Amino acid sequence: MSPKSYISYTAAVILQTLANGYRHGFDIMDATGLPSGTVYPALRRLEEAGFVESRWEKEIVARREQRPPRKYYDLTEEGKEAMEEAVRRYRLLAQSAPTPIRKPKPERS
Amino acid sequence: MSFLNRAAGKPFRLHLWLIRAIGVIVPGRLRRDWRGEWEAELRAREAMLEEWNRLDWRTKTDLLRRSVGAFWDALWLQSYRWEDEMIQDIRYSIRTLAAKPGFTSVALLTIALGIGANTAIFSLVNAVLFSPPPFSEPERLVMVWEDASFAGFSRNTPAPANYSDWKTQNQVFTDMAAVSSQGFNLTGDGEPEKVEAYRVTARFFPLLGVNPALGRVFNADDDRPEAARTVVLSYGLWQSRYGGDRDIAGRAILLNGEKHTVIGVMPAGFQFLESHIKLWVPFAATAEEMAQRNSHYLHVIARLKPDVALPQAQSDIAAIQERIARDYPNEAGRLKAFVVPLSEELVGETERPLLVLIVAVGFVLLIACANIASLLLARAIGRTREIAVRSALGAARGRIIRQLLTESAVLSVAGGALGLLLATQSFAFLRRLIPDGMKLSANLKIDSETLLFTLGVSLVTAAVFGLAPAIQASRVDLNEALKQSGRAGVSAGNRRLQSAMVVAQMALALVLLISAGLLIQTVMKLRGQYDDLRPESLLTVRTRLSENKYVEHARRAAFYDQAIGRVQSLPGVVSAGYTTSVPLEWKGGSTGFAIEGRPPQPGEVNDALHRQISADYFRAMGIALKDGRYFEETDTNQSTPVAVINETMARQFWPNENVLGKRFKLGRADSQRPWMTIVGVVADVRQMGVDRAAKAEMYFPYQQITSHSFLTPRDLVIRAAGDPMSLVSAVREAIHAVDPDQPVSNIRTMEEVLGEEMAGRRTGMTLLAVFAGLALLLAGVGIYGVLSYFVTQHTSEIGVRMALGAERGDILKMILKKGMSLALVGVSIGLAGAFSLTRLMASLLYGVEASDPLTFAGVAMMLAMIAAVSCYIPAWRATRVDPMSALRYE
Repeated sequence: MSPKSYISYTAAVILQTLANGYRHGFDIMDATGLPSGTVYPALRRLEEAGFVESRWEKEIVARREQRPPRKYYDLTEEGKEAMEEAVRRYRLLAQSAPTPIRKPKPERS
Repeated sequence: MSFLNRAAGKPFRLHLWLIRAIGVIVPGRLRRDWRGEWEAELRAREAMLEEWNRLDWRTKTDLLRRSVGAFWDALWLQSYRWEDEMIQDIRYSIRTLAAKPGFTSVALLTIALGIGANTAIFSLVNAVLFSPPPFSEPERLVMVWEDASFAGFSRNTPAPANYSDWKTQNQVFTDMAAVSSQGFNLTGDGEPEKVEAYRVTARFFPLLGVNPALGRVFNADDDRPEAARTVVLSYGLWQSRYGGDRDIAGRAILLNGEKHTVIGVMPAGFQFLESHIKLWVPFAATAEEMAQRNSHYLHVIARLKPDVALPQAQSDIAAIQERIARDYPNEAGRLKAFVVPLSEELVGETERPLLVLIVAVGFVLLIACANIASLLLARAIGRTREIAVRSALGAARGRIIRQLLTESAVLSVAGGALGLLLATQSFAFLRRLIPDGMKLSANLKIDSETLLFTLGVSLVTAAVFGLAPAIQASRVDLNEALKQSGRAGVSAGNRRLQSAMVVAQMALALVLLISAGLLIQTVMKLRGQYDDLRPESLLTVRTRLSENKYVEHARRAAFYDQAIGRVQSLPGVVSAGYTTSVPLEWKGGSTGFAIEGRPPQPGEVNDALHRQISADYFRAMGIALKDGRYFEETDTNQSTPVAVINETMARQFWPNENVLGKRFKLGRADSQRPWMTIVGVVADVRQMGVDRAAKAEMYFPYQQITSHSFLTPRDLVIRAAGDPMSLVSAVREAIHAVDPDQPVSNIRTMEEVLGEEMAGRRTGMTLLAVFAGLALLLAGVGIYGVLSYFVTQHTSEIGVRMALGAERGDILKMILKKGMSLALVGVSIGLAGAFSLTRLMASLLYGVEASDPLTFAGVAMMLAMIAAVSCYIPAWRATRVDPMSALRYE
């Protein structure tokens, strides 16, 4: 039994969110509506399983934006496969997935 | 605006602070990364929100919510801990400890004893002092007592009429109930059995809020004198006599020969005041009984209204009692009343002994800590090179201290686990210290609280014994330590610390030893009061006559005459006698009396314990005659009524007078009862308690007292020529030959009666003695260990001295002087400490002062001697040092 076939719905949602270009923990939370206590442990598990890899933002980018460097996550090849399999399994996933955009834009008040 | 400025503008942001706090539990290896990621996210979000001008309280709450989620993230990361430094440290510690099995097992055992003793006493204290009685809302339950201090009873059982006045007039209780003791002969279905029972008013069970395990409890209809007889059984009796029969409800049982229908069974662990109560019957008082103001025999329990505090209840009851005193000056003129919380009532007088035990086990643990600290210090000296190598390789000092502390923690947690095991083994013994009022309901067990306590104590212990040696050990001089020939350097600080540990152990051990010495003397003195009775050769049995069967006096007298006749003729019996109660078995049963020619002042009550006895009782019991004569066979219901009184009664009521020939009568002077002439005075025997002064006591020949049938003799005492217990079956047969249905109970030697009375004290004393012995052992080992190390460390110095001409005697003196000076400093400090601490126990002592000079001096001398022996062995070993090899070693 490969772990791929047993990826949880939440993990699949997170994988798909990553595939759609959301790369930071908080952005994933915004896109999926999942709480931080769910998103982060899931990311760690996915990273451990090799579906996701994390990297630190370049210092220079962070400094330009006057904040500490952020960590971002990317799908690996295995991650992509796992996600595609999950999409086949969880049919609702395709509908519930957030639309691919670069940045969450809250509406102006 | 730069990021830094922004941060400076908002000095405290809870969400960031939370991340820092939660980060503490993230495994050290991952902590930096983890905090970095979370902080960056939170700050980026903050910056974005600020840019959008939307950093309001709602979004701030959202940030906070997100940072709380970090906790789950941190928890999830705990699985990485195994690769963490801490685990490395633990693994390393276990390896080093396992490499030195001798040291490790001594240390483990020491810690286990220290922590085990603390855990055991903690469970006891927790069960007795901090567990509320198992009734509903127990904090609102109180007992109401009469205060008859004027007659020597500061806590008196209330009279029925007073109880009913309190019940009807009070404004502070939601409910009130009364209880009185009653004994029954339980016959039919099996051996006749004497059982102790409570008569309880209908509100008793509902007031406590306890439901029966089976059937129902009494209602108002059961609690009427004319109602059909009913009974509620205790769980214990239901199991032992009826085999836990679930169909018991509705069955009739015979109590004093009368049918009572069982209506319910109380749950296991239910008890009120006394643990040996086997069943409950309705109080079912007649109107006359409830109007009684002269007989005081109730226990009164009440439940406070929810908004009423204790002082309020106190003043309400006091006010009612004042009215009663005004209305009935003769019966209650000087009587007062007061309220006591039930929990306080149940704990009784055990609080002080428990406090002493807590202090004692604390001391034992401290000594154990000091002991292990010196062991660790000594060991650290041996490890100087290892530590030096590690720091040379770049280990920071903090890292080394942490490693050494981890070692201590591993030791003490393992010791704690072992201690827990020891503690569970002690529970059977410790149960004896639970006061009778909670014997069935209180439980000694290892629960989560105990586990938490043990873990906490273990960690604190590790810090106490581990910190100082760790800091000392980490302070190494690399240059010195790494030199090939470098003698393991013992710093002056290190030596001072070792000396301090020895002094502390000696001082603490001395305090414990003195306390134990005082308690041992107390127990011996208390027990010694009864030596004249030679209790070891006295057998006591109880034959309580059924009130329904032995109604007439003549019938009772006939039973006693025949029983005594038969028992006295048994081989091995020296003498035998009947009494209402042997000393200590019934701390009550007093009646009022009037003295001839001395009319009482209003409100004055003459009152003494009332005992009806057979002629030979004094001789059998061994109570000495002080004046006049004992009773004789010639004192019959035909002859002049006579009485014998104890010395206290003579002193109290006829001070400086010759009492022989004086007359008094039971009840009031104008009653129809006969005057009784005092024909003898006997020695006092403490009947109310081993540590209570003897109370006035009057004895009458049972043949002459036809009134007061509830004080009719029930205890038979037999003076045996040999082993008293060997007479039991013969005595039982003799009684059954007189009346085959008569239960024989409470078969014990007088020694056992005394033993039971002193059980609590004896247990407390034994525990303290054990702790003191432990302290002595540890302190002895401690001083021995330190001196041994001293000798090993100074082998070369000793060699040089001897090479230069020092005699063996000089060396012996030098080492002994070093050890003994430490011991004597410890002893002096200990003496001062004991002087101030033994006052704590003053109320527990009898016949010996809290600062008894003999005990202080004797114990100090004993400890000094033990110390001398402990010093002698290493000192002697020092004299065996061969100068040549010692110098070669150098």
